[in-house]
Amino acid sequence: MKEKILAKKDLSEFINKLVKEYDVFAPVKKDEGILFSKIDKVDDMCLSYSNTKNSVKEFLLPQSEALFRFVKKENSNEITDIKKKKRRNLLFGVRPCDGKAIAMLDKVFLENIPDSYYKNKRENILVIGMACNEPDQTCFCTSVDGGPFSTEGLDALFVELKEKYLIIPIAKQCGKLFAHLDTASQEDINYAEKLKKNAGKMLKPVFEIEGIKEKLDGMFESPIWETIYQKCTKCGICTYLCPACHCFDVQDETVGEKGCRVRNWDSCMFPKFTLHASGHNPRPTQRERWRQRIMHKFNYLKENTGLYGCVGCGRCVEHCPVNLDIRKVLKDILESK
Amino acid sequence: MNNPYLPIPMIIRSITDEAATKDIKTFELAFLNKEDEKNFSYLPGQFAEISVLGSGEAPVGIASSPTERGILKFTIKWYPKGVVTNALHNMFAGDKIGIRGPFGNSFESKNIKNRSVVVIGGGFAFTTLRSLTTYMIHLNNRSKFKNITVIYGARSPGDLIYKKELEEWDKRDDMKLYVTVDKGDKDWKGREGFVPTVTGEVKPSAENAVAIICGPPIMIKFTIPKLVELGFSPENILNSLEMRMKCGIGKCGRCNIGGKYVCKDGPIFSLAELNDLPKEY
Repeated sequence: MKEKILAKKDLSEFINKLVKEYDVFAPVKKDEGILFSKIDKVDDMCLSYSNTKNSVKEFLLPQSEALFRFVKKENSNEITDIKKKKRRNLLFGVRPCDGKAIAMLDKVFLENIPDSYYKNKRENILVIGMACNEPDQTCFCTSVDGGPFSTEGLDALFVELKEKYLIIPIAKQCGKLFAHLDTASQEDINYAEKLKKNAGKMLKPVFEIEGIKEKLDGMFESPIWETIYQKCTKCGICTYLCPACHCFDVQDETVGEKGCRVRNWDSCMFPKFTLHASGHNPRPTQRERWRQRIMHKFNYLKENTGLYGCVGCGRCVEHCPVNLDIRKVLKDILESK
Repeated sequence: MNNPYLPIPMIIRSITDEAATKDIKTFELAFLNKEDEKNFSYLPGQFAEISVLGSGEAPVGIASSPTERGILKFTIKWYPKGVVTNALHNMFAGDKIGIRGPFGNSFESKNIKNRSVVVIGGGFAFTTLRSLTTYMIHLNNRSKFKNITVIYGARSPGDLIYKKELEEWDKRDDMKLYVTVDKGDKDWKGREGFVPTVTGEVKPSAENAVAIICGPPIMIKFTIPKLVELGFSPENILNSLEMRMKCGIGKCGRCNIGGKYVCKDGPIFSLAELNDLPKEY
């Protein structure tokens, strides 16, 4: 499908149409910051955002998700399925970094043995991106194979021009959303191209990521891990806000007779993450946990999926309470002998 | 679509105490649905997630052999801090639980057929080795393996598990069984000595042979040099690993050693494979 044009004054009508068919989620200004939340109309949205505080992974892998329910009765092990959501979801205004994270999550959750909960959500969601004309200070997508106009993992990408949006349709299922819109002129396309170049210039890579996987192959016992973790308070905010982190725990929660098996986000930063029932822990200190975080993102995932587990969104940089900056860590690793 | 997180309903047929310490029990389970039983096909070395509603799940190696039709066995040690093992050790025959699986590779995925197999086990880590031994000596399978040698040791006579089977195996002439304890008691008439020492004395031939070793880390550490001395190459020494796990299908992200997931790339690894992985287990 050719690039389309939507005038800013027509965005309201466009969103109204979407809301009729989908549960639409977009950046919304809240007390806690700008969060991806459900909207009913265009005014609910906040479009002057660099990125949302929460990533969009929660729409595919919720922070807490019921797998099934049960009633704890004498000698019964009957379980009941969770009812599936009827309406489809549409995410509007997803930044390209979060889109790239979805592409990586797809590899983990849809390949080999597919994860049915993820698959069901993935098949019932449309992801519409918003290109980053003005990247933020903590952004570093171009350092990790991404870009402010990247379309990976997105079904369509909006580019904000002066009085209008240029729409780049990517997935076929988006076709009907944009079919009625005017085709973009060459002038509009050229202008978007200019914005893309401009954004790229603002985001010069801070390190050369190429070869980091191979470099880390030989660094498991490196003394570098002794220093990296020292400030870490094990709070886990880096992994919770990360759009690519996806490790989860499975727990049974019961209230009286009623129970539910749930999966919750977990974090490699927590001591219990790998603790055996016997008391043995293969990652006994924060040194091993930090090594795991870096290795998983830049070595193991690269080996197993071909993609990095970091998309350069900068959330961990922005929210770490002790200013542990992953960009500095990666730079140190790449520059180490 | 197939949901890999739904447990298969099972009933506990019997619970057997295996050790004098009363903290190791074998749970014999039967399928509640015929269809599930038909679809559950596994090989020695694989494991399952045992599900107790309200308590959660724990990964346990399957101790029965696929040749034992209609049932599954799991030998489970009670850990004071283990939520699921606590729940299981408070159950009775007739109680209903669930399982997910089978998960992981198997001993057979590591080229053990048409070769001699040396099984070396220590303490309570004999569960999937029981599965393997029972499988290999079955009428239908015995011709697929050459010499079968089993060396099994425990700290004391009371710590030996599967005593009934050990007696039966001892009577067979198509396998060799060496049972040893670190220290016997007044009734013990068998062998005394550590597993590594006994392995050195038994001297199993390394010719066209594979050694499979499961036990406490200290036993494994001292047995491997004996095997190397006997001519076993790292490719022909197999281990089974344990890790904290949740999903069993390579998604939840916690059982990895380097880029390998114990749940789906293991739990059986050759020493050669382990030598290529970081020492984080």
